Amino acid sequence: MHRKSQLKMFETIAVLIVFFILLTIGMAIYFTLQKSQGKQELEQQRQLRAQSIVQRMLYLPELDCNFVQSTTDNCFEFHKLKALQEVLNTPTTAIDYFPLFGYSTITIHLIYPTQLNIVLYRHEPGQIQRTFATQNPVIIRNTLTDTNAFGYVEITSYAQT
Amino acid sequence: MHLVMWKSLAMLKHKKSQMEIMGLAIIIILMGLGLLFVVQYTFKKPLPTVTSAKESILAANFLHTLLNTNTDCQKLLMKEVLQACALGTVINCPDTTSCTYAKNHLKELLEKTLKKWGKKYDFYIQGAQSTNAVKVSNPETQQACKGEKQSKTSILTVTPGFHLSLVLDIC
Repeated sequence: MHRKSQLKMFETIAVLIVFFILLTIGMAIYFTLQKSQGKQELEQQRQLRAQSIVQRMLYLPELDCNFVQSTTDNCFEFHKLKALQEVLNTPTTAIDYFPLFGYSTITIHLIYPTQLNIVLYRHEPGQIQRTFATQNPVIIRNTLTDTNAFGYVEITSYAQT
Repeated sequence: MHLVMWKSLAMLKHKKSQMEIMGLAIIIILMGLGLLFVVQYTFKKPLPTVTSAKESILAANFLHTLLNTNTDCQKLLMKEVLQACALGTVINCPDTTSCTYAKNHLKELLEKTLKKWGKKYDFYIQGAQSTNAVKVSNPETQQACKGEKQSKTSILTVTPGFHLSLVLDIC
């Protein structure tokens, strides 16, 4: 009788062990899935942020190509770019643009017919975890020569630790 | 005496079967929960991908910028060079015809932008026999985009009723 109840007790313990092992495996799978989903959402948020900076940049009135109240899409005026670069080189003015661009670096690359890089805005955080670069082709218009060059705006945004 | 023993034995048996049913119920509940999670992850709609939207905007902006860029072929706009190519008009581009010039120029711009950013693409023009040669892909195969792609088309009017479709697929 004593041996039989001992055997029963072992059986119950074995069943409980198997049950808890299965429960732990299930929970581990669930939390791993949740974690990977969270990471994916964070990545999407970062990409969205970079894209929103690109959109703000493309419609910046300081740079747009305007002629008789008509604005050309995806176009920056070269001389306005140079002027804004000078303005943004002043630390006090650059601070005014921080709410718009945050921690990012904005570079305009001219690739055709001439090659030129213009760093328009640079504001890096103290510690950088990751960087994300987004590019968008733009027309660089020179109103003095009445020509359009091919360029692109590159926005590097930073993820802080 | 016998009756009391028989009764207590019957009670014990009844209790044991009740416990077994409880155990079964717990197992079924846990399996149900597991199944619920599996169903949730299997049928959950994927998040709208920012990447595909970004590539779609990129393709549209590339075409717009390309067509409005002045070339070093008599300072003509790229769209004017393509119009000349479609019509077979002779224009003096440096050392070459308008179609070859357009292809070389396009290839150069695509390599300096999309290829440099690690994108695979197909660029081609539909609507005229002469523009069929203006076709650029990365990697340089017959067709780079075979699976999922973001496609943008820009319509270029050559003459009234004669249009070219410039297609850029990013994959």
